[in-house]
Amino acid sequence: MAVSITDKISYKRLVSAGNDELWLEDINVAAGTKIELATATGDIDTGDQLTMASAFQKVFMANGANLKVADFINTRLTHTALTAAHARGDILTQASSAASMIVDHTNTAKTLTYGYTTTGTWDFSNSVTGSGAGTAFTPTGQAGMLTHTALATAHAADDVLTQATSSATMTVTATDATKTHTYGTITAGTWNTTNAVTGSGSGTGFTPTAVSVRPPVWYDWTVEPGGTSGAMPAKAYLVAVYRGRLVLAGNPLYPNQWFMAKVADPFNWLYGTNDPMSAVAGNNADAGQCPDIIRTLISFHDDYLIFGGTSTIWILRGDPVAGGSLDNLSDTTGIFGSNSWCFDDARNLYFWGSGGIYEIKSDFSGIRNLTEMVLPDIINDEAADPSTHRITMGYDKKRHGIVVAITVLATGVNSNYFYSFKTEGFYPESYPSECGSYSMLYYDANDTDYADLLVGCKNGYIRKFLTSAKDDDIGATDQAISSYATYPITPLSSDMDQNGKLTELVFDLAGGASGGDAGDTDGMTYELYSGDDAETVLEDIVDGATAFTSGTLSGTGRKNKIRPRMRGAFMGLKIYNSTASETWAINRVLYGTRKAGRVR
Amino acid sequence: MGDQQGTLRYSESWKGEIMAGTYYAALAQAQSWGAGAKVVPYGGTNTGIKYKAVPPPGGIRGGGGGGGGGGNSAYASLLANFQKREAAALASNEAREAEVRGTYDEIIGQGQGAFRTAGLADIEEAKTKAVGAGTQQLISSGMYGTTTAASLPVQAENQAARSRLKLEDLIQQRTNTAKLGKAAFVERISEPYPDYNILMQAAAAGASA
Repeated sequence: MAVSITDKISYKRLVSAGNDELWLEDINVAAGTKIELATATGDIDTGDQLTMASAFQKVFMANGANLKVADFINTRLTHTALTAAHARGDILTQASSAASMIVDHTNTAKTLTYGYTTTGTWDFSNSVTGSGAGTAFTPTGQAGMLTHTALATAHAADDVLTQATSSATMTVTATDATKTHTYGTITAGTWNTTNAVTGSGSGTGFTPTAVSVRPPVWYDWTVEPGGTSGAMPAKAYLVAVYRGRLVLAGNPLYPNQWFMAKVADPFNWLYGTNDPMSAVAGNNADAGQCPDIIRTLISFHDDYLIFGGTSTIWILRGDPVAGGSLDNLSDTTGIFGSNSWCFDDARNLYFWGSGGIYEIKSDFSGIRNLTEMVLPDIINDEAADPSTHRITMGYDKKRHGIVVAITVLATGVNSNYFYSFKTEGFYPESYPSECGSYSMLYYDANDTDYADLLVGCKNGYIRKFLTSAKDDDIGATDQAISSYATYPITPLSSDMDQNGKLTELVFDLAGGASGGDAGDTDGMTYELYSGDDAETVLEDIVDGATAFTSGTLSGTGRKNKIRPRMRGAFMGLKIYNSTASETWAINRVLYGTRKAGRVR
Repeated sequence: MGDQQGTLRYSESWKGEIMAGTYYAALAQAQSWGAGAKVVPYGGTNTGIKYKAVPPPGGIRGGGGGGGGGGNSAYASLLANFQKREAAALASNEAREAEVRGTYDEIIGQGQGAFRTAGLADIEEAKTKAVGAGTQQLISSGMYGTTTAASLPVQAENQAARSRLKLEDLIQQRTNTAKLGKAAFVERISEPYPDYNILMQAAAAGASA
């Protein structure tokens, strides 16, 4: 007997913000396809700091005074202002239609009720009653979205759309930039994908290709009306989720304060109740001491929440109202910014701190400065300032390393590092300013083609590192990648303070035989330097001084022997390629020397 | 002697002979005269004993007085002795009743005093300790700078309020127990009817002596 198994998977959507717009992955169309949540356009300021957190099938956004919610699970019913709002958890039932909903949230004006529809289809004729003390109402509208081919002219806000035959009507709220999705409030009838739709304004008529009565809805993140749910901070720039609580921080008026909503209730901010799930607020300091300013919130599952300050790091374990503890991790380093950290596969935390790039082991056995010995002056060299720079970090699972991007906010000019887990070394790199990183995320997409480290770039595109690409995609054109490697400065003699002569040099380029299974390298250029001391040689390379000799190699495999006859105490070798559409790799460099007298 | 209660009763009890079987009439007359009035046999035999009511020594209530009379001196002495003993017993019982009532009242009154004060003091001390212990715990766990610390006094006061209510309830229970005891005591107080059989037998014995 054949067994039929239907996979059940959870669907992930990538939500991104840029250009004051919110875009979400429309998996109903295809993985990786983004559509604009048009109702959010202009409601956020991506020129200001913005952070997002995902919880309860919603996206919560902290963008200063713009505290917003993009809700992907609830239905929104519109009605006249209620005397008493329906409480969270109440069950709404409509007469005749038997539609039913679990209430999640009501707006401040008590004219919009959001909830999860469990059964039935709502209509606009029959009364809705609740299981609690909320006022009964008859819905006047329901959030909806019509999908269609691109319109020549979009329908404007407040236009009324009417569908032939079904007589369904919708009041338009917004149309996305591609003019393929119209959001609004359905006010009558049942929409279909058969009949034509016309608008009361100048928008182009269309026939819907898809109808949604539960589109993503966008609304202000507020407390429940009625005065018993406390008050949210007026502003916040940091948001995280920890143990079912939404956490906010970064209020400019109270930069050292953090705020947590009630467990599993992002709309209740009433502090100090005698309830282990109560909302709570606090700061990070020993008793009697001044707290540090909070720059980042880092939550790790329900295990702990790290507060990164300007010069301290604190860790909260457990729940702050029910037996949790707050301990200091570091008094000497803070964390640069809200995105200046990432976790690797082993749950180790990496962050840009006051003295460089740090690692905190998953067992909190210590904080290690990774750049202390190899890049001791990285802080001064980069001179990053939180008011002008953004530092983002991301774990590249495919390439086994951490990408650290330091970007000038105004121009996109950047200076970056790739920390390799294989070599435990730092590789400096920079991208075209169009590709300057403003955000990074390893997106574990359902479709593996899109599961990668994503970089949100200055010009509004989301990019990823592609091994097969040989140039950077900066938009309309591609830009060549300039890459180089400098070999360690090498003494030319085994005796102390003795000159040597470089008699032969052999390069072994990657690719084996040309055209075989192994990937073939493109060409490269080499430059040789010599000097009486190592630092002079290195300085010449860095300063771009005239090399002793240089050459260009092409093809794969072992190249012909080069006889440079270069004399000196130390030698330096730089290899590079700046040609468009080329990449290069080298297996090894062989060299031979002989003594050449004392250093004078 | 003036008639205090009514001509008929007075004249019958004072002047005339009351036939046997009119003991209760004489008793009623004596009761109407109040404390000190007596019913005395003054003649007849066995089943034909005659009774008459004798006014109290100080006279009938509301004025007038009058004295009793009749009967032989031995009976009178016995009666006087009986009355004296009865009065003494009554006084003693009344004194004991007053003492017991006073004891109950004292017990009832204690609920308003030191017990309540001590109980409230204990509650306040426990509240202070709870706030202190909770604060120390929060400091140890690093949570001193949170609203949890600020809510400790509120939680402690809520608990103290419940404790105060329990204290009041306890005081009320004890008071009610005392009141119920007093009520039971009062309920048990009885004033038995005098055993006139003994008196009649004594009078009869005196008359035949």
